[in-house]
Amino acid sequence: MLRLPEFNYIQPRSLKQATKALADLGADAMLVAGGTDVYPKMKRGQFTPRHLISLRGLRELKGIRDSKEGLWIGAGESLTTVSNHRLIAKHFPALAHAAESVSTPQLRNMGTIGGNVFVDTRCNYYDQTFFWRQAVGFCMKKDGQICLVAPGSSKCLAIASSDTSPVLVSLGAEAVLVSRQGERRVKLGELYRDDGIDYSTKAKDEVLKGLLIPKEALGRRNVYLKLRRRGSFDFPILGVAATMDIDERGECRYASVVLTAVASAPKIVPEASTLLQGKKVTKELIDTVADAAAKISHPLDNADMDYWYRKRMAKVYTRRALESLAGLDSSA
Amino acid sequence: MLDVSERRTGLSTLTGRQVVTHFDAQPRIDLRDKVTGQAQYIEDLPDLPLTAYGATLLSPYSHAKIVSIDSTDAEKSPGVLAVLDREHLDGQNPRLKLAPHEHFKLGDDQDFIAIDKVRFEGELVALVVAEDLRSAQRALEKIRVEYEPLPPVFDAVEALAPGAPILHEERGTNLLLEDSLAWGDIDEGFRQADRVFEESYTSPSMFHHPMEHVGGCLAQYVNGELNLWLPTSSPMRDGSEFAHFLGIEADKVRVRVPYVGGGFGSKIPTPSHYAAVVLSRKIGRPVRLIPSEEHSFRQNSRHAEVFKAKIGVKADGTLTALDVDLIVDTGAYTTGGATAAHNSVISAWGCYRIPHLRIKGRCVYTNKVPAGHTRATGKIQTTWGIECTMDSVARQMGIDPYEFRKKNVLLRGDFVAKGTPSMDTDYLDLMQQAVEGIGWDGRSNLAPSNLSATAGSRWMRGRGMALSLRHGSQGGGRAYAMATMDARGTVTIQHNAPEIGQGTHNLFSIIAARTLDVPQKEIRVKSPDTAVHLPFAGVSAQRTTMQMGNAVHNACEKLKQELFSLAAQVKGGKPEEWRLIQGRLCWAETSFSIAEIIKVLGGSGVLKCVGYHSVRPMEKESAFAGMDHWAPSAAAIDLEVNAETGELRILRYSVIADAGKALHYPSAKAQVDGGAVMGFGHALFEETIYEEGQLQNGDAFQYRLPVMKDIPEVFYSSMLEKEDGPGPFGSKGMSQTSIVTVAPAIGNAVYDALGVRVRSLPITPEKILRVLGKI
Ligand SMILES: Cc1cc2nc3c(=O)[nH]c(=O)nc-3n(C[C@H](O)[C@H](O)[C@H](O)COP(=O)(O)OP(=O)(O)OC[C@H]3O[C@@H](n4cnc5c(N)ncnc54)[C@H](O)[C@@H]3O)c2cc1C
Ligand code: SF4
Repeated sequence: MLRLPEFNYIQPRSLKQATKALADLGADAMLVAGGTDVYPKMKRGQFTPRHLISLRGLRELKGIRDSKEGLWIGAGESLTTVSNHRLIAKHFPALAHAAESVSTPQLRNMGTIGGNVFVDTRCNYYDQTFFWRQAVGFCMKKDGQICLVAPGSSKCLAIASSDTSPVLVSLGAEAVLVSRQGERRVKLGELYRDDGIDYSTKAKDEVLKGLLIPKEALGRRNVYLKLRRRGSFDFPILGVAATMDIDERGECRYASVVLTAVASAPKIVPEASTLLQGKKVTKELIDTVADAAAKISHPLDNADMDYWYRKRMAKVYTRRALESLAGLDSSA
Repeated sequence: MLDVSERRTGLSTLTGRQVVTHFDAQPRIDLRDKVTGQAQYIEDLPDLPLTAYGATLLSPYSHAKIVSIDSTDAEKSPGVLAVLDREHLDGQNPRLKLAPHEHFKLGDDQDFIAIDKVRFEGELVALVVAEDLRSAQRALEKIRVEYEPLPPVFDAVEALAPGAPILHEERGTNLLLEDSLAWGDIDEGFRQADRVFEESYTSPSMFHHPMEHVGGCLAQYVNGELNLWLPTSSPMRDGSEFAHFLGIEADKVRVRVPYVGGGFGSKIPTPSHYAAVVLSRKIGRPVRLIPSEEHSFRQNSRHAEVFKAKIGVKADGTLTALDVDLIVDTGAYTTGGATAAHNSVISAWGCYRIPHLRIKGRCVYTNKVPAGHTRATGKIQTTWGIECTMDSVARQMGIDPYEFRKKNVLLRGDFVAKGTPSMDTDYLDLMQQAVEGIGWDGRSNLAPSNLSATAGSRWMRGRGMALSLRHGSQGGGRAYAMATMDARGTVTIQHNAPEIGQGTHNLFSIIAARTLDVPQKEIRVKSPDTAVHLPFAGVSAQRTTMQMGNAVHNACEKLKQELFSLAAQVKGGKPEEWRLIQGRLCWAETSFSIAEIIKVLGGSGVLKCVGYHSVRPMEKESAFAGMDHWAPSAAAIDLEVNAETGELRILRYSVIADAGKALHYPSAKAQVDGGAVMGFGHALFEETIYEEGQLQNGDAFQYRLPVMKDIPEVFYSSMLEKEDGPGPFGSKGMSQTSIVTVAPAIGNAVYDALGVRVRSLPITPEKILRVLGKI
């Protein structure tokens, strides 16, 4: 089996100690929560930190509760807890389902939602052992110079692969970040950057404390559809998160569609709000939004299933997601 | 869509037979150890004193010349004990000897460590041993190998074309061997046909993917003798191969086999095992290998195949002729190429009455990981071919595929081929049970193509079936087992048939308990150890229940006779008047414990008998190596496929195998279930992908095995049990039958739903859209 390289393991007792250690150790250090992304990548030489700062056991990162601002989810909560939580299952089935669709039960018991929103971007040329990457001459995401998928590209095009982040973005969730300088709140969607290497705008010395889903999201219908080859285990090669609010007259008050695995960051489909809000939702309108979703999806030949298939499915899944929220489901 | 009330979780909530015998109700004897973590696999065995660790340097190229290897720095690296590469052979002849084959004269073509060239990505280039694994791995990084890359070839058809890169220059061609099977007069067969069809199907290379990695061992060469702890399916054969390689007597090699974490044909000696042995000899210390997943993936594989058939049929649906051309891709070296090609050739006709037949097979080298044997070697690929062909031809004739099969399938007692038993199963029963298992009447939609055009984004329902036939209990010569009874009445069974997950140890304990009529708890089954010289060809080719089962039965029968003779001597009467009933020796009105009788032999007295089983001797000019019976199965599937996206939803699956008699029902059924689950992987996901000179998905995440959610919730598996097999108590070999029918059943059901046919495995949504003309 592949072995972990040597590293220094730091176990802070409080969030304060954690942020201090992170600031002190700088670029040589990395945060680890459940470690389900970090440890396998260290074995394959994709991550090479000298120090790991563990977030396990930090009380400040725990808890899922209703507050006057909305639903608070501590970054250190496991995906199992998130997917089984009563309030989440009731109000945000999309989030429960997204969390439940991550890999396998064992990994969901270890993996956290904080780790999930910052999970590394993926690419078939990068998610390989050191031996394999060395044989192809490495790529710019780690140890190399060029992109092996698109040799002409000046940036890495590895794909955003978190299941929960598109759902959280579509629900309008905010991230609470803590560093030695203090705490800041930012829309989760703004924490992503469409760059396979530098995919997050989070400062290097910041720790995600938790996520807040705002009150107004509570009554909205939401759904998450995930494309993958197998029934479990696999990362999303397309994810569609949709949120919608429809009033008694069948008119759409709010609509949001966010895609994952079609670029290096979760992608918002603007047409969902511009075309649907204020109108009665029809199959024709949904088809237009679905076309728009496919248009902004740029899958490449660097993940499972053919890229043209993933692009086509962006349309089908967007349509299915919106139809199910609008109660227009016909394909079953 | 299925009604929710019909859904069930887990496999096989519907079973054919209820637990009936006392033995069925007992858990497997190895179960407790395995569930509690007590069972020892190769990595659990404790180190021997002074054990050193090996690390392997593999070729990053699929085809390259080795210009130079410089290991000076590695040798000086801390903790390093020795480096082995082509420059450090210490007089060892690197050439591996191929085991003799029943049908071919094969030339040895593989070195245990790369000499001039590497011919596949992952070929062993060097092995370092050090005081610990980390030191060995660090040293590896210091070995400098200069390669001159050569163009690789990954497709067997391309490898045969003029101008293709040649793997073994001295041969001048990538064609390894040709094989054929024929009867009747093929031209006459086509003359009799009213219609002739041509069909072709391909299957990709695959990896067996046992849960325990391929390539682990603990090797100790001391005082001119080799002790080897090896997860293998055939310790006796391996022992003699190692002896041959090292130039020592066979009895100087002792192979012991712990529990094996699955094999499916992959657990055979590999080049790194030979390297570990050579290094142990060199440093005079034991050497341990713990393979990584990527190394495991690069040690063995399954053959890719191209199946092309021309088939002649009379207007009433009677088959007249079948002409098949097969191309079998064995990867970089012969490995299992001869057997895979031969098995494919002798089984490509399926299970039908075909008066005029010609099958040709060519086995070809490519720059892929060498292909050994895989569960149902050569049969997975040909069943995919012939069963889709039958479905397709029937439909083109306007005949229902079920009726077409009923008309042409071999029936009990039919002559099959020279040197084989006549047909010994009832396909009509198998088929009927299979279709009933999914609640189907067996009738297909004969005009599905009308539907696909108007289907839009709908889920279309389809059903399909497939049959399989494999030679059961094939070849292997004689199997020996030994039964020993001590003064406490405990019976010990010794043998060389590894417990590789399939339940051999439990099986032998049941056979011994039933034969002797002693309680199963009095039976001990030892792990394989070649020091007790009991030959057996190995746990493969569906031969264990049949051959080793009969050997155990025979040993216990003899033991019983010995016991009766002894009892008669001591207590009176004639041996044939004695009986063993529930662990007690009975004669007339009296009964004794076994201990009371054996005691008379003195303190340490035991009774010991060796039993054996011989396969039918091979008939001259028969292509079929001595086989005892046929091993068939039938399967049916009910699915939905989305006409817009090609997504598949498997609703129900059913599979029926002919077990003769299941000696431990849960274990036998687990073989049927497990085979089918593997079959779902082959049908829908699995293939080793080679692109741009490299193996792209050689790890457990990128190589997609089926997961629980991919198995239909309604999964019906059952067995025919007519107690008509030649194995102990009427049993037959049946462990490789259920794996082969899944893919063609799905392919046929997709046609039933949409009117289009996918002709290459795996069947993916993308391919379905392609054949629908939707891309
Ligand atoms: C076989 C396999 C299958 C997988 N399948 C999926 C899948 O289907 N979908 C999916 O989304 N993921 C999948 N994953 C990835 C991973 O398991 C999950 O994303 C998981 O939620 C990561 O959480 P973690 O706590 O283990 O993160 P870690 O591995 O501990 O960390 C992941 C990243 O997040 C950072 N991080 C963690 N916590 C914080 C924090 N509080 N503040 C700031 N940074 C933080 C770490 O520094 C690191 O960069 C899979 C992984 C494996 C090995
Ligand atoms: S997209 Fe290009 S640079 Fe990024 S990981 Fe893949 S190959 Fe490397």
